[in-house]
Amino acid sequence: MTAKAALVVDNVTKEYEMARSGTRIAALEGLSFTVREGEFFVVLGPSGSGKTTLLNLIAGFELPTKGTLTVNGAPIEQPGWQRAVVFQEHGLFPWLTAAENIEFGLRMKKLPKGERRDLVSKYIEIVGLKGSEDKYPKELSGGMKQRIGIARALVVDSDIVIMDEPLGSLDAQTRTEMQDELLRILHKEKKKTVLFVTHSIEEALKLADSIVVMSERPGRVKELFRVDSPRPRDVLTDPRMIDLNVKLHALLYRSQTPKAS
Amino acid sequence: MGSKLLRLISSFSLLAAILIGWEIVAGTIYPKYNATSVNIFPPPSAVLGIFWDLLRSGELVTHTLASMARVAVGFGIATLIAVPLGLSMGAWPAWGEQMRVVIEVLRPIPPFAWIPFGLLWFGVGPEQTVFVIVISSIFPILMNTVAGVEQVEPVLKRSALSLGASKLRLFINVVLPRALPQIIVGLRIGLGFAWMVLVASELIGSTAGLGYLILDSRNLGLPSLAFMGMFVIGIIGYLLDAGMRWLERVLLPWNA
Repeated sequence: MTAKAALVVDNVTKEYEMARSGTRIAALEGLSFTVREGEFFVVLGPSGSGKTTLLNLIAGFELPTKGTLTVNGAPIEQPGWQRAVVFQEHGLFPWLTAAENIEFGLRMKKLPKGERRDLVSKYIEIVGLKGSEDKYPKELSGGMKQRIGIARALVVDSDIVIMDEPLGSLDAQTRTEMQDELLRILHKEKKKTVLFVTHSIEEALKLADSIVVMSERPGRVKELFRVDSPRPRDVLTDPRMIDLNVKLHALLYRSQTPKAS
Repeated sequence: MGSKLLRLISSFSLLAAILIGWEIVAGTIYPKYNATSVNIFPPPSAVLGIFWDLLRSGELVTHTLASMARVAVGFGIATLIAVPLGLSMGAWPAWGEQMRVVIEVLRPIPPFAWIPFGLLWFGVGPEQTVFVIVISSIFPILMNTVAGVEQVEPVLKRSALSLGASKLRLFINVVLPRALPQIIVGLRIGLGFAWMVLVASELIGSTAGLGYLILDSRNLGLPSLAFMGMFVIGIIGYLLDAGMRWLERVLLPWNA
């Protein structure tokens, strides 16, 4: 693979000052990794590993204390549609219908009406929301809401789509369904670069081209894995997946010593 | 359709029973023991009679319109001040904090306490009534607008920003619609307050309006006129609130 780098995180440190004591706490320390164009990049880490901080930096909601983050060579300075985000709490606008939610980013980009309409109906089709376009979010199930969240982030044609545990608030069955759905949707979106934050090893195994495992606070890169098995993957029986599963478990939960190899 | 009408009618049955009971007590039983009782406790039929007289003479319409115009102007001014002010307080927290201190001191003062100043500044007439109405309705509108802006979930703001919204678009397309239900709650409470202080203010310093009508009943020795004024005020207040609720449903189908 000689793919270009889409996102470069270079030696990034993020410190927060505690309001009471004034002491500084590092959420991330010397974090570096590269996301290649068109890949599905999974950030895997326990809670408290600075995943949310990392996501806020990539989205541009916050700035790093030290180090740089660049997308296609340009430094990240503020949030924008070039780095669309899918949130765990979906963040849909409750006063807009499903179609209007998907249209939101296109309106912000000031696309002409006809173009917006075509794109919205295309993405409604892709994420399987036909027939629910005119419903308000509160009338839709958790899985349906997150389909809108995904469509809304894809339709603006960003350089990279950031997904923050997008399936985290779904029940187990819907979650498994949506993992397959996500693969299907992204297959139609040729070469979409995705940064996917999760603490689910199963999700990482099923979806990832690359997996970076983060350490506990302060967040650093513990290890980076490239996964080139074709999808859909059989996580339960494929020997390579089983092997990777064991390694990830060891890294994440320290139940085994990771020095075995 | 028929059952809907039936339900509507049956929801007024207690009110009807009270009116009938009152008519029997005040119209037939009580006068047997006290011949002058109708002068202090008039039955509904007497109230209805005077209602009909004033309706025909056009006086009732004149006074009702005078009162409603004052509420409309006062409530309108309060809305025009409180909504933009509340939005600005929500948008700029430092400004909001300063304003909040001022408001928290002014807010507990009952609107009626402003009546002497209203009379002093504006004299007897519609202006002082409008003034007191503005004072009474401005606070609920303001506080609810601030609360509406503050309750906008951070994830909605972040969603909008990461979908390319500018600061201005964030405000117009996210903060405003998200705060709207709470703003409308404030408007409803504010309108209720406005209608309530109207009468008090008209009782004290006015030459027209439903409150003035009630005051006039004492001068005329006509208690049924006072009752009539009270009922008209009650019914219009109810209709105003119902109108606001209807507006809420129409404007906010997603929030129902």
